[in-house]
Amino acid sequence: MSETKPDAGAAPRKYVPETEGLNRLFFQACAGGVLHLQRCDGCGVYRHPPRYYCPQCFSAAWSWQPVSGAGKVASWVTTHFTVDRAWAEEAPYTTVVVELDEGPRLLAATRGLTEASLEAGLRVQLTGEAKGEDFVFFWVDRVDSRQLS
Amino acid sequence: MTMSGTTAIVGIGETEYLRGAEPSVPELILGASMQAISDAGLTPSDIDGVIPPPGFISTEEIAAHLGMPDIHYSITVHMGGASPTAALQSAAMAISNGLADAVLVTLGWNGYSAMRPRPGVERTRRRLDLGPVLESSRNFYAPYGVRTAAQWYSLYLQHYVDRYGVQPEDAAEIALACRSHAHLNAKAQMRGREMTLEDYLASPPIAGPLRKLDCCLETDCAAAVVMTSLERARDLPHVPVVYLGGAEGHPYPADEITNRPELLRLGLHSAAPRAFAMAGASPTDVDFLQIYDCFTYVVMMEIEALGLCEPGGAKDFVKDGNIRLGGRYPMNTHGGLLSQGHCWGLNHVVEATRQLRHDAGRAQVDGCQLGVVTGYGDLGDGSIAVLGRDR
Repeated sequence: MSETKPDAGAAPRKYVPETEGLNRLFFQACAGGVLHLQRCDGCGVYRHPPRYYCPQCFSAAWSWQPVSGAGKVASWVTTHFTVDRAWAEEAPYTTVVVELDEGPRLLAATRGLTEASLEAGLRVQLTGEAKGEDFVFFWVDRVDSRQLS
Repeated sequence: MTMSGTTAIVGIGETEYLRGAEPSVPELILGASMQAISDAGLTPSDIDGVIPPPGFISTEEIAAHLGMPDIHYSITVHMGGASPTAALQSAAMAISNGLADAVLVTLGWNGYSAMRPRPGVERTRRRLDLGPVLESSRNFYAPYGVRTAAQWYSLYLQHYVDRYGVQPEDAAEIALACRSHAHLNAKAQMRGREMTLEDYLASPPIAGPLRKLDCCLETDCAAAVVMTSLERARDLPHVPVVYLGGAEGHPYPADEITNRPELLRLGLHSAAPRAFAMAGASPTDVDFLQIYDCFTYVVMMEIEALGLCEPGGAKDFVKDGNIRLGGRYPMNTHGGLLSQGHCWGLNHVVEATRQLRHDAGRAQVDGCQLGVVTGYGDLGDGSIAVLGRDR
């Protein structure tokens, strides 16, 4: 065991999962800075979380496709009380379900977006932040409508 | 061929509902099991089928500790809080097909102590098996500080509330009804602790639409029931409580919430019509409801899933004393998970049995003949049992 104990009084570190299987492959595909989604080679439908077979056409052939991360707010949850000590000081915090333009939805942490500024359909940008090689943490940011072409 | 009406609940047992139990989880489970077996007029050696909880203890251990030398049937249901009520259908299926004669369904846990270790009390290695939801939750939710059932379910409860204009005062009635019933139950944790609407509205926010008083109680406890054939049940001490119909259902996909095409469709929406069809009954025939009440707003969605009202109609359904004793659909007459204690709804099965035996004391629904129990768990799995008093 090479685990080091955190310094006494140090804030607990946020949880980073030890990933495996398809989920690890997903995070590895995203870890280079470009968001990727799993897409069925048979029918072209995007899916998430990663699955071994396509739920639409049942094909076992798929590949990781780069996507822009552009999407919209589907829903959100604001947490006032948390059992996670690493998040306690941030409460209340709002976690957003982002629906990417390709269809799949992912949970992401907010920065600068308050619950009051959220509405379903609001255009947002999903950005990945690699935490090591096998996990990517997702952030959601507001897209300034004036920047849209 | 149908198993409807061929099996019955003949024994019930439950421990105290505790915040910090002295006995270990296996001791709680074995204690409740012995109560249920004894209540059925049987001995452990009569039990040849066991459905243990998902985690904490195995059939093999239960059989060895209690003395069940010849187990014919064992299975474990992995549906979180929907497991015990779903287990009834497996028990009924095994018995009606001759695989087993008498089946013990039991569940116990350290719902309080697991989260709140106490000095001098050893932490147990026995724990809940989170298998069905573990991969999604630890890869895609937990990294964002979304770790609890209150947060998971708020991913759809917030949508439910926004879509149908549900107000806190609507949900409050569910918490208040359960509390009023808890005062009648000697084992209810919240017996004697008054709650007013003002208390409810002043309780602190937890996540999404949920306040503290929308949430069920952390509890150390166990419960158990014994089922056998209706034929044999008629020779045992209590009036048989007949398993008329039941089902389980799963949202899709069940292991992940955010990518569901129908965010407000729970497992119970699929299960309830099948269970009532099997029972040859309509939801409006029932004399009481024992609804899995982990959170008030989940109860509202379940009431709608049962077909008792239209989607969005639960906020009106619960009004005017409709779900209180004396109303048309008395609900959670033992206090429920919200005010009796959290035993994964097996305490709801125990209470339904007590009601149909006409042995529910001050909480008795006069002359009741038919009742429904629901289960709910993991990321929205559902289960249901339609139970009737033997005529």
